[in-house]
Formats: sequence, C-alpha cells, structure tokens
Amino acid sequence: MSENLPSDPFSADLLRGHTDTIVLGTLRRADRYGYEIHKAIRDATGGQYEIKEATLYATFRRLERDGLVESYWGDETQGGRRKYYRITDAGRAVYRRNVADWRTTQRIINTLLDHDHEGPRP
Amino acid sequence: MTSETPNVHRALDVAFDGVALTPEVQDLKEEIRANLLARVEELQAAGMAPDDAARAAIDEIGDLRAAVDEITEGRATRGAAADAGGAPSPAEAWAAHERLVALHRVRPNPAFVVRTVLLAAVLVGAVVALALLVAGVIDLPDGAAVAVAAAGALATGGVVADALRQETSSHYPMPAGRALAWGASAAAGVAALGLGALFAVDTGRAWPLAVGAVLAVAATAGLVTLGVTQTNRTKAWVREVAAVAPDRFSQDPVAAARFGLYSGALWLAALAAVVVVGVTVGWVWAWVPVLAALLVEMVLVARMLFRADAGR
Repeated sequence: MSENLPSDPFSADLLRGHTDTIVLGTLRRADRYGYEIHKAIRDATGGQYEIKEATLYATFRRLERDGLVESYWGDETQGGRRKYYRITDAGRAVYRRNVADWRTTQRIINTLLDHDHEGPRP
Repeated sequence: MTSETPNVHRALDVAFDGVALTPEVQDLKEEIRANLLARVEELQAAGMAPDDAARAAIDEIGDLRAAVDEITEGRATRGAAADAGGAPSPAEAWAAHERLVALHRVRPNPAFVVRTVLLAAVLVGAVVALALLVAGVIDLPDGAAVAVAAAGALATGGVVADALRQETSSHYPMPAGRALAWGASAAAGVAALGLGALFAVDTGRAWPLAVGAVLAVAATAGLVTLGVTQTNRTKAWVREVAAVAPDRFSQDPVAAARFGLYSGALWLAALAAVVVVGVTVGWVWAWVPVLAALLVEMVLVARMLFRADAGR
C-alpha cells in the first residue's frame, strides 16, 4: 500500500495544486457534504491519494467566495446537520477549462519527456 | 453511541479554543462536527468500538487547528488590507477598475456577433410582419403567419441560447443543456405572443388562443424553473469588485425592499391599465400602459439605485 503512495514530494505538491479542480469534479453529478467529498476523492484513487480533510475546509471557503460552489445546510435530524456543496455554472465552466488546461500541459510534458507513447492519447 | 460523541465534541472544542466565535467560525465548527460524526458512524458500522471510532476519525481528519487558523487568519488579513488601503480617490479607483477590466477582458467571438445580428434581423422582420398583419396593412394566410411567428420564436431562442453559451469578461458560459432550456422557454414565450397576434387578427378562431395559452404556460413554467435553479455564473474578479463596492441595494436592504414594493405596485397597475385600455379604447392601444410603466420603472431605478450623492 505505502509503495503506491506518491513518495516523491513533487507529485504530492503537483496534486495539491489541483485540489480546487478535483473538488469541483466530485460535485459535477451530485451535491455532497465535506466528508462525502473527502471519501469520493479517496475512493476514486483506490486510496492512493488522500487530501487531508482539514485542508479541504479552506478549499470549500475559497471556492464559495469565488462563486464556484454554493453551500446549504441539509435537513438531517440526527448526528448534526451537514453542510452540502453544490457546483454553480461558473464552477462547471472553471472545471472544464482547468481539465482542458491540464490535458494540454500533460501532453506537452509527455512530449518533452518522450513518454507520450505510455500515456493515454486524448 | 452516547460514549463516543463527547470525544468528538471535545476534540472540536480544543481545535476552536481561543478562536473568536463569529458566525462564520460557528458555521465551520458545525460543518466539521457533522463530517466527523459521519465518519464515526461509518467506522462503527464497519465494526469498530465507539471510542476507537471517535479517536480514528479525529486522527484522520488532520490538523484541525491549522485549518481553523488558516481560514480565520486569511479573512483577517483580507479585512486588514482593505482597511489599510483606506478609501482611494475616485480617479485611482477608476484606474484600478480599468486595469482589472483590461486584465480579464474577453473579446466577443466574431461568428457569435454575426449570428446574433442575423437572428435579430429575423426576429425584427417577424415582429414587423405580425404587427402589420394585426394593423390590417397586410394580409397573410394562417400557414404563413404561423411560419412567421415560428421563425421569430426560433430566432429568439437562438439568440438567447447562443448568448448564454458565450464567455464574457464578467461571466462564464452556461452549460449547453441549460442554455438550450433558456432558449426553448424564450422561444415558447415569443411563439405564444405571435399566436396571440394571430388571434387578435380574427378573434373568431379559438385555436391560436388555445395553442398560445399552452405555450405561454410552458414558457412561464420553464423560465420560473430555470430562474429558481440558476446558480452563479459571475467570475470571481467581478464578485470581488462587487464585494468591495456594493451597490445601494446591497448596502441598504430597506431601500431594496421599498424598490421591490414600488415595482410590484407599478406593474400591477400597468396590467390593470392594459385591460382597461384594451376594453375601452381598443386592444391596438393596450401597449401604451406597458410603455408608461417601463418609463416610470427606469426613473425609479435612477432615483433609488443610484443616489444623487453617489457621484460626489
């Protein structure tokens, strides 16, 4: 398990730079609350990558300030009310643009490193 | 169940110890509490003992104190920066705003401009043709009149959907499905108006009124649904500018409420006047109260949204 974790701090930093986009991606299909988003990211990578939940709260607030997500309190009666996040049209546009930017960057890096035959072709 | 909860709550209290409990901080605390409890519940469902589950959930979440400090300090520095700058002179503020606008400028796509001009021409042509038909200047067979109304409706839908799909300096493009739904609703509304015109030409036939009414209801239902579910499309830089320099209605909710009440009363009166004028003078002149109300509304906006002292 541990050998699968990004051991190189560079790759973890690289991923951290995309936290906003990753969070927006988890909200594309359905509204989710904080722990659900954390779990979706963890499960999507089969546990290989995990964003510390504590750091997600700053991300949520930044996304909400920029109008990329909206939040609302759920109506759970038990175990505390959950704060749900909903992606906005602005959030969808930013998500699509960031994904397109990433694909371009990935292609360029693959070409420069001469590893493009290994990576998935767009 | 009862033995694990104090653990989670205590951990939260420790993390928030000494932090001023503003509504924002309270909100964050409750959000984290619900998420911690969700994780505890999940671990317990997997067979973990309550105490262990609480401890594991708290361990997993990471450095809460650092997160709390980051969020509250970020806010404090932003506020301080805004205060320290003081009020810039109008010229400086204007120059800064111009720089921001230039930095975020998105030029309109030439193909979009051409499409909009062409579709608007189609719409204007359809409106003129139907107006001449209602005024009795020209005569069109029903099929042709319906085709004209349909062309006007499709042109409107096209303009609306196309415009919403464009990225502008201040707004992100709308997802395609939503933009199409807005366009379709607007098209249904225009088609209903066109059929209304057809009915006005010869009130002896009921079908234009029936179809028009169905389209009008569909358009209203569509526009209301879309309006209620609409989320933010404004870019972050515009939101920041708006937060620094809010308009009068954001600063003064009482003025905003008063404006809403005036507008509501104005348009109700206009609607009643349309009916009265239509019945007494004739339906050809029923648009006059609408025009009058529009003029009054503009004066209302000018007087209430932009205060006389705003330019000083």
